[in-house]
Amino acid sequence: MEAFLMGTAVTWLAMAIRMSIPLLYAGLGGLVSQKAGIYNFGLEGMMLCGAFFAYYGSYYLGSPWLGLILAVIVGALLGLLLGFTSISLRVSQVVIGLGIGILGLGLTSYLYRLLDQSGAAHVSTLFPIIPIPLLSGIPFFGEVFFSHNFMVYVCFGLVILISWFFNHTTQGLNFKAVGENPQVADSAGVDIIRYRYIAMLISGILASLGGAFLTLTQTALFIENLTAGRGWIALAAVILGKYNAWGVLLACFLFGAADAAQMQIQVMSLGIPYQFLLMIPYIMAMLAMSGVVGKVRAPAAMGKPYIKQ
Amino acid sequence: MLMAEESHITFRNITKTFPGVLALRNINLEIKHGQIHALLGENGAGKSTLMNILYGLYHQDSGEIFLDGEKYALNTPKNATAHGIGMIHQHFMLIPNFTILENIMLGQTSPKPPKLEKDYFRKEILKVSAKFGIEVDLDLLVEEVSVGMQQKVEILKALYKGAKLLILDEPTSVLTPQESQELFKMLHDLNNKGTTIIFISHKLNEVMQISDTISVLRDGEVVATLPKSQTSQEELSRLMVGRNVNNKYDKASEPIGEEIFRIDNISLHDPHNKGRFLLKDISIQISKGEIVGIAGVDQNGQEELAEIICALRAATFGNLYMCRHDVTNSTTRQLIELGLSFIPSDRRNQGLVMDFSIAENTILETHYQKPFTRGFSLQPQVISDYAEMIVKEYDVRTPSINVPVKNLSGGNQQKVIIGRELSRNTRFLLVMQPTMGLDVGAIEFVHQRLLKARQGGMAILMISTDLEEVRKLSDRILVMYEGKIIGQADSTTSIEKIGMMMAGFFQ
Ligand SMILES: Nc1ncnc2c1ncn2[C@@H]1O[C@H](COP(=O)(O)OP(=O)(O)OP(=O)(O)O)[C@@H](O)[C@H]1O
Ligand SMILES: [Mg+2]
Repeated sequence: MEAFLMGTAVTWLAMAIRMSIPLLYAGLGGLVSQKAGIYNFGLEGMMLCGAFFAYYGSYYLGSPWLGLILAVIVGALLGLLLGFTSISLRVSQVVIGLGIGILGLGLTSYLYRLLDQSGAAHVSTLFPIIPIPLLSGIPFFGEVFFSHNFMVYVCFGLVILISWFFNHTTQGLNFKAVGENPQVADSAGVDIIRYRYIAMLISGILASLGGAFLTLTQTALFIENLTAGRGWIALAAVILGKYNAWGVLLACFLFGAADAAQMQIQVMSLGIPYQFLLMIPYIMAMLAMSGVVGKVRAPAAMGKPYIKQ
Repeated sequence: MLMAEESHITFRNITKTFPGVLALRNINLEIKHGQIHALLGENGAGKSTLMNILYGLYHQDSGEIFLDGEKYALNTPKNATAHGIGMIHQHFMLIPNFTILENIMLGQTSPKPPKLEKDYFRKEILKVSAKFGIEVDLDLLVEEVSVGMQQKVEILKALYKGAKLLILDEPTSVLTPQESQELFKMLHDLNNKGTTIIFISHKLNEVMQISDTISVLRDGEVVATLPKSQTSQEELSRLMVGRNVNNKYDKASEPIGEEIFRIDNISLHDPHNKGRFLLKDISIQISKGEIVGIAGVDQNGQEELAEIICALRAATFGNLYMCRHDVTNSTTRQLIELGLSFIPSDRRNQGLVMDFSIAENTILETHYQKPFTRGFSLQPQVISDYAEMIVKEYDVRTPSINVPVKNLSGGNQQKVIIGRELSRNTRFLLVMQPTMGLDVGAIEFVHQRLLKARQGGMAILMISTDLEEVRKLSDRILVMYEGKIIGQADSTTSIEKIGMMMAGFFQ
């Protein structure tokens, strides 16, 4: 019995990490753009495009690496599109973000059908799992933390990098100032427009990688609306994580764990209709947004375009 | 001083227009090295605009600026900083949830990029602060420190970036009298160490106290530049307003009427420290036709009391009565409908919606009532007529009622609020710092208006840190100290005595 419980816990936690990584990529993308004062409501659309193009690269061009590169390019373009419209044209960030969401859904579904009318599933190559030597041998922890594909490790590396960037570099301070009060940052000689474009570029790439993670390491397939609202959950994770990279990590893990739990309960067939279980992560996201975490302070200039005098 | 007679900044034929406004017309002005040069002028005369041009926030339509005799073009804030020009704005350019250290070092190049190197900057900033004798705790968040301290941070920031010329736009309007005196001492020290200072203020006594030279602007023109020794407060106010300003009012003593508003034993707990009271047992009764003044140093509970009266905050104990109805649990809107008007001290955040037009701001509290709304629709014609009326009555200087209030000069914004609040059917008026940022002419006007409202039977509670103002207008004066009413006085009580009470000495 004990061994069984242990085994379940290991499977659950390892799965929780895998489920949380796509959220974490997208969440970090949302974090970077929001720190610079721009809402990225396009996370969902960017993820979906990333997922599709990564699949396309992997299956039709023959290598998951090509898929990854394609996803980076597509994410960068979408990030710049949101950047250009909201920074330079000063269109409402909400409208453009939602627009990108609809575009992503429509475009990927259309292209997917265009590619393949037979309806047969074409399985693409996945990135392999790379157990970390020695560490992966540790009982329990080895399997939970150190037996994943490289995108998981990269994502944890990004958390460390982003957290260090915001707290210990000059550019990080400038970045935060741009999101808090662009007038002040401007008069201190910080180039607002450049910082915001860079933020959107990075944000788009990260969100797209979140989608790519799904098709390149998990499903090996593309289906319509593959991301199923993960971009929105990532947005909730940014708030639940209180605009802090480590906080976002924890929040994403929480959502990932809920998702993994619902999958395991389905497997155990306890007789609960699976639709209810599917709701768990979304309900948690709603609770997070409704202020369970207490007062969260968003960057003060969020959502406002900067107009130079 | 060696360079004392050399020109630091020279404005030549500067002209600036905004849509519909000629803000500056052919300005010629010389600021000499090592001087404290005051700029005086009515609200909307163009003082802030001229300084914003020097600092590079606006650009002149025509004309030239010379710095140390050389032509200074390309005026941008960055370039101004590089040329040793620092500006302390009326609203501070600080990020509230950054530490003081982070605010000062923002935008500086790190010695070891990309690392932030806080310790390096801390040492450098402390060197500057020791040199000029400005003490600040670099590790506090800006939002945790007082307004006076924030101003010091701004000054230190400018000095750290190498300012040789400091521009201060109405620096004392946000300070308590004590803080103002500290600021003056600091400015004197800076000046002795060679910093040129341009100082904008409406307070003539301050200008006479601190400056070497005084220039007066009127309607976008320089009408006089005088050394302090050759002028007087009376002459300056005449130059500013173009007429003699009366500052003795005859206050007909009215029979005091029935009670309009009563504050009954109000107490308020400190939300951060349950054992402490922010307000303790405050009871005040205000009757028809009287002005009750509350004098006191800032931060002694006035803000909280005002919020409780307007139902923006709930008291811990006590009751409020308006016209003998219990209104302790009424909402702000109900109070307004019963005849409350409120002129807050923070006009940017509490008094106005800065992005709304003047017309929209004049109906903020009454927009849903007749005649501004009929059925479901606003009545644009009625609203603009009403706004035009207020603009005319209260002499708001603006090209049209449709400009956003953020484009008005500070004093004119204040006039919009006063006009709005006094144009309703008000029974009880709560007013805080009514003349903050107003020029001497406008102050006289507002004071007359308040007296007229009193004559008309309004009950007025006036909270002000300006003791002169309280003494001139009030029928009764209450002194507030650490959340308590600690004494009563009237306009015959000496300033010294009230001052002692304000500092917490009981008789
Ligand atoms: N950004 C702007 N857009 C339009 N008009 C403006 C703008 N800034 C200032 N003005 C106008 O220019 C004139 C001069 O304004 P300015 O702010 O320089 O006055 P001021 O002398 O500083 O007055 P105060 O003592 O009230 O602060 C005013 O009529 C004002 O309405
Ligand atoms: Mg001004």
